[in-house]
Amino acid sequence: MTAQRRKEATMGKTVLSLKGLSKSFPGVRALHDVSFTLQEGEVLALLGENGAGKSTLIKCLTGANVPSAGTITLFDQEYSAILPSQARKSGISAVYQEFNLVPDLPIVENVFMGNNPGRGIIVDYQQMLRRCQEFFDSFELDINPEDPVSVLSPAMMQIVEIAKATMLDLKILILDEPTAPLTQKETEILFRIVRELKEKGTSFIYISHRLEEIFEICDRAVVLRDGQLVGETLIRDTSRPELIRMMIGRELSNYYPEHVSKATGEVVLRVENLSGNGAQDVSLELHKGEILGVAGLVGAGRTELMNVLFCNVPKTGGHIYIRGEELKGKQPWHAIAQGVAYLPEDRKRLGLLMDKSIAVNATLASIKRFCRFGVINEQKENDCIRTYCEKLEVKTPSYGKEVQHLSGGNQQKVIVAKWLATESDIIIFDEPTRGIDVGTKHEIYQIIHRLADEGHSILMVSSEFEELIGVADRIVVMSEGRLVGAVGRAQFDKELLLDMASGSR
Amino acid sequence: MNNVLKKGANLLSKCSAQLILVALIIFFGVQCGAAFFSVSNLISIVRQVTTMGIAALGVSFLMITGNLDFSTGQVYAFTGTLAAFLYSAGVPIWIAMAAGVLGAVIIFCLTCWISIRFKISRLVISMAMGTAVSGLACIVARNKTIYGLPESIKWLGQGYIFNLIPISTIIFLVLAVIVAFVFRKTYLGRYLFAVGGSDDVARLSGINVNQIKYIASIIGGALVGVAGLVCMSRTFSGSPFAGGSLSSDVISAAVLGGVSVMGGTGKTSGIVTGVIIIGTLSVGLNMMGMNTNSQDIFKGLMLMVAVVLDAVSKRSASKA
Repeated sequence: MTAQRRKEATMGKTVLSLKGLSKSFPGVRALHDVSFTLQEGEVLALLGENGAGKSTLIKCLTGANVPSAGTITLFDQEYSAILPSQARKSGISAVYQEFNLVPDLPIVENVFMGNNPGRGIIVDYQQMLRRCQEFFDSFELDINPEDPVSVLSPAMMQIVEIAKATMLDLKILILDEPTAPLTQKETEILFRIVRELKEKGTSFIYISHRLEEIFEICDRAVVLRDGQLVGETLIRDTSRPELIRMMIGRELSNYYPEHVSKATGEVVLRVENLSGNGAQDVSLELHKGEILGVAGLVGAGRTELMNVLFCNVPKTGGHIYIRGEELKGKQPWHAIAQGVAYLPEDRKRLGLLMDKSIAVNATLASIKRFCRFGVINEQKENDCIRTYCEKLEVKTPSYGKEVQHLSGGNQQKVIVAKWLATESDIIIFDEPTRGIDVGTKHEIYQIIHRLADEGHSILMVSSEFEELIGVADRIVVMSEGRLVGAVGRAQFDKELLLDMASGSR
Repeated sequence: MNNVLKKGANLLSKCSAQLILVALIIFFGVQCGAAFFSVSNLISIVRQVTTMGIAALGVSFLMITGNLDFSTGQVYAFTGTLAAFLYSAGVPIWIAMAAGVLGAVIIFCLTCWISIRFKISRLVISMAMGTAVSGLACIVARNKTIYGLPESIKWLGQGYIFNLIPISTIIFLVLAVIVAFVFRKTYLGRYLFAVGGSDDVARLSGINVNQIKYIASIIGGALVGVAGLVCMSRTFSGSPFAGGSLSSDVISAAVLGGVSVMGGTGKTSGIVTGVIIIGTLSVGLNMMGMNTNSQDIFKGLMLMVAVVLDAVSKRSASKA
């Protein structure tokens, strides 16, 4: 970075500056001597792998955590610790991945929750309605403020969260993975909102695992690793590999591992004119050892189709054949008995018993195999757990550890172990790397490749086209519940896939 | 220093039931003196809690799958009433007793069916069911306690081994050991806890969730039925009013022992301790000369303390 550019970057007024901020928890140093500044009207990317200290830092800024050392200067006012009420009063607010909305209340009530305009105990409902409508209108969003939040898509809920934050007369807005549930189009709306607020002088701290977005919306990036600030750069001066290198501390030479497909001609799964749960008239074939990517925008019906395949939701028409035999069951255990495994997108809610141990989760689907007369043979069970957890390199001091304390990547590995223990050979991965940090994503791709090499057949659903292009042997594209095309590895192209997915081809 | 505190807190949350029991014993020991520790008094605590203990074991099957049931007391009374009524109508006593247990199983399964079929919380259905069952028991018994049971069933509730240990207590302990085995060493146990942890995760892991809920209802009903029979034998009568505050007592005992009201956690040793806590409390308060109304206040407070402890330990666990 040249001196001149550095000067340019710090031209605006400094709204927030951290000096030597540290935070320790018993046994863990979550943040160590972190210093950086945020300018007025700037979008600052806060990057780092899971566990790098991003959340701790955010919590120090919103008052949820008390720093152990260092100072936070907010609008020329120096604090050693910020109280939540002070954070709010000085106009700093965070939008978290987990929505803080009340589903059954009207949108307008949610937007003004805890911040109702009015006099005394009388709430000025008309004013609330007007301001809410103005906000949605200004971004050409077709949202009725009097509808309950529950009718909204996750994407629109995110927009409502941001609306809520803007009504607080915000100076600094922290967005934590805001685009995770959004489609391309909705992401654009979000970015427009960010840009417009930025023009008005709002500053942003932006956290995302999607590096493409960082390049699109952010001005500057600070990178955390193991609780320390390891890099600070203007976005236009850096590149994707450089950011990744800073985040994981080493070169990630091949982001997507090399892989030569070992797919054979043998068809293990054949779907004919399958309908149900939003999927319509889907036909596809999956070969032994093949990695078949399922692309599409959010709402295209991919997860819905997978649920029908897994017999979790009844089909309304069509046939599923596994190794030539029709799958007629109506419950997940019928599919599991035929060797189908499903790794859901929402790991925490659907994939794992969060307050149970790795061991219990790893054998949950296969425990009957280790039983005689209903009694578990613990020796056999432990052998199985060890075999698969070692094979997948689950990092843990003990298999008795509760899975809620594991990182996203290790949690995903435990779910893979669960299905390997059932000796499933058709494995459905639904968004396998969502919420998993860059370094670990690589490991998950390697696992998927290895499983395919060992003769498992893989269906991989992902919203990230690049990921599918990097990992899959063949990609089918869904749009509005229908299969709109299939592309072989030779024809992989992001533009082409996007065109197909958005229904323009 | 922090580490020591953390370990202490950990121990506290793991053995909170045992610690509460010790505290209670010390308190009553000081208040009532040596009389509290006399053998006959301790036996009386143990005998007091036997029927509640067996019922609590049954209810824990439901609670672990995440289903609260508030009809335990009524079903318990119904079992004894039905058995006594059938005997008085000329049915052999063993068949009458089996019919009583079967009745309890059917009621629990019916509650389970309604809750699954119409996707309503079992808690609500069971309250309605409890009221209905209580009415049914009163009709069967014509609003009176049914006497005149045969001597041959006395051993169940009134028999002693070595003239010291009640047979019913032995039955309770044997059942507790079996339940502990089922919870810890069988796949049924794993499935019960999985369903309680999350219906969705369990189903997506290939577990027949509804089947597990029915199994929990059958076992729960059977154990509550057995508890009802022990009570019938002890009082030597079948009374539609025998349930009393059992419905909430068993839940207090289970929650005190670490069975979460949200489902998914619990240990048999905890349930046994919880049951003894409730027993100690009522015997101790009796010895201090407190009337039943004031005792109810204490029991209510106990349930509140138990639920609060449950919530607090859950929260600190997810934070750690």
